[in-house]
Amino acid sequence: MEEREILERMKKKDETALTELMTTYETYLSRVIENIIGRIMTKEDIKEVVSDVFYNIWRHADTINLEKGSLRAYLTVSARNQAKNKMRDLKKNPVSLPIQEEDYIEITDFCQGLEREERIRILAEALRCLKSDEREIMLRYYFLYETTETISKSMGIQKNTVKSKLMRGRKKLKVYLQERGICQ
Amino acid sequence: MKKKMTDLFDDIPMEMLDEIRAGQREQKNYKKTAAAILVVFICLIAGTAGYAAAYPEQFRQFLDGSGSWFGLMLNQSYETRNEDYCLRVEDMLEDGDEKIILISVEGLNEDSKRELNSSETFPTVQFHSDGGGSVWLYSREDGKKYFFASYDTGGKNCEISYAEGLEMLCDEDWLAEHEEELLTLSVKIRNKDHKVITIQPNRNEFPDGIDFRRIEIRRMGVKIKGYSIKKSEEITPGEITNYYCPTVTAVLKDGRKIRLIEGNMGYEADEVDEKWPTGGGGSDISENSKKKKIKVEFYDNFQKIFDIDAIESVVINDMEYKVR
Repeated sequence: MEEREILERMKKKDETALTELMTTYETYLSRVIENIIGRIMTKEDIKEVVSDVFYNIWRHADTINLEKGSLRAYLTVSARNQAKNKMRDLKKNPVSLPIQEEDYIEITDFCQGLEREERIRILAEALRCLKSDEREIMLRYYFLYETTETISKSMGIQKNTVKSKLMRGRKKLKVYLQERGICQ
Repeated sequence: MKKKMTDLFDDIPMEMLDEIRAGQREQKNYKKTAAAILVVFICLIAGTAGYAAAYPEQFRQFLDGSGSWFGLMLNQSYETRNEDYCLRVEDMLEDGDEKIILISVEGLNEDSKRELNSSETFPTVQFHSDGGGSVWLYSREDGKKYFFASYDTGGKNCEISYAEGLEMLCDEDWLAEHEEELLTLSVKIRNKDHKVITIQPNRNEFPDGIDFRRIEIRRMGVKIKGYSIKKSEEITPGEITNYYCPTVTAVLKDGRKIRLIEGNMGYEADEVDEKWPTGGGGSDISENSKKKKIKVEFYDNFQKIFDIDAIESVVINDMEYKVR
């Protein structure tokens, strides 16, 4: 599937382009959403969120810039945002939340005052300081909400190694952000 | 203010997501580094004794509650640390080949404490000699865990290591990558106040093919060395071996008979005053094809200390030997 061509067709409101996009990414997006809200929502609810994600990208196709990220990345961000919104609405029982929701970092007032673009730049720099496998593990864990077991299988490394790399990644990230006054 | 890590990741640049490769990758098949010469069985007895009391209560609770083992404690401690963890040998017990080591791992910051609390990693213990043993989690408190290592080995030198994610058989890449995190203590176990009763049974005392040459009784266990033959294909529950093994009974100076090893040669039903509690016994079997003999070593560890100074004589099956 050629992404540029699909995007151009979506901009022209060609519905077959949307169908192709759904065929390619429906399973993947379901998994991303399930990682986040799978324990508090039914399969039908997850399907509904997936549909919303495709609907949004269909509506906002004009604003997508493939220089910033692939269609897959846009879809992933959208799926995550919508799933997190659902989670905020539904989190009555903390036990049902993914374990990632229990990890906190102490942020300074200085960080709060930064523009979003600046925060993105600093976080990107911080993540670039990690080794590529550490970065991938951090992204899979904190962005895609994958479990250490899933990451272990996906990346072909031991579960304990995933956990130790997560720990190191967190520590390096914290040191980097502390040095820049982002966290305490 | 506190912010969730997942919320912090709301602000990642989109192009980074494209670095995540889809699908499953093959597990790398690295050459395994034998991190242990001993065959080690790791078992998890999570917090069975509740939260840890201060050392040496650890040993007191684990052994027999009476503190009678303290005479065997070596009062040796070792410690190493990095910025995340402190690995410590709290103390050791040693009696012949029987070694018991109390190890603690403590998280030194919030991150490592949290990691340790949810971790399934055990310290590894490596003796550079034959034998076997196990490491198990004895108790835990917030940010600190206590492990016991129990080994039957003639070795005196061992290395105890810990790093988050460490396993007994870690591949070389893992060890190289975690070199800075790996905490290792090199421990030399001292001899202390050894007491042993050695019985060398009469020759031709046993049926053909069986020849027990040496029986050692210590405060922490009994060991039988010699030659034997197979009694059955599988070990019967409650027995330490499927090879013929003698019954060993101590006759005390006050006349009481205490069963130390329950054998399987027809003498095990003989009446005694008490059966001494044992656990963790086993056997080492090696066949010599040239001599057509099977060399055996049976051992059983006591669950509480046995006062061997009180022994007047030892009965092997039905033959009594005076203790000199």
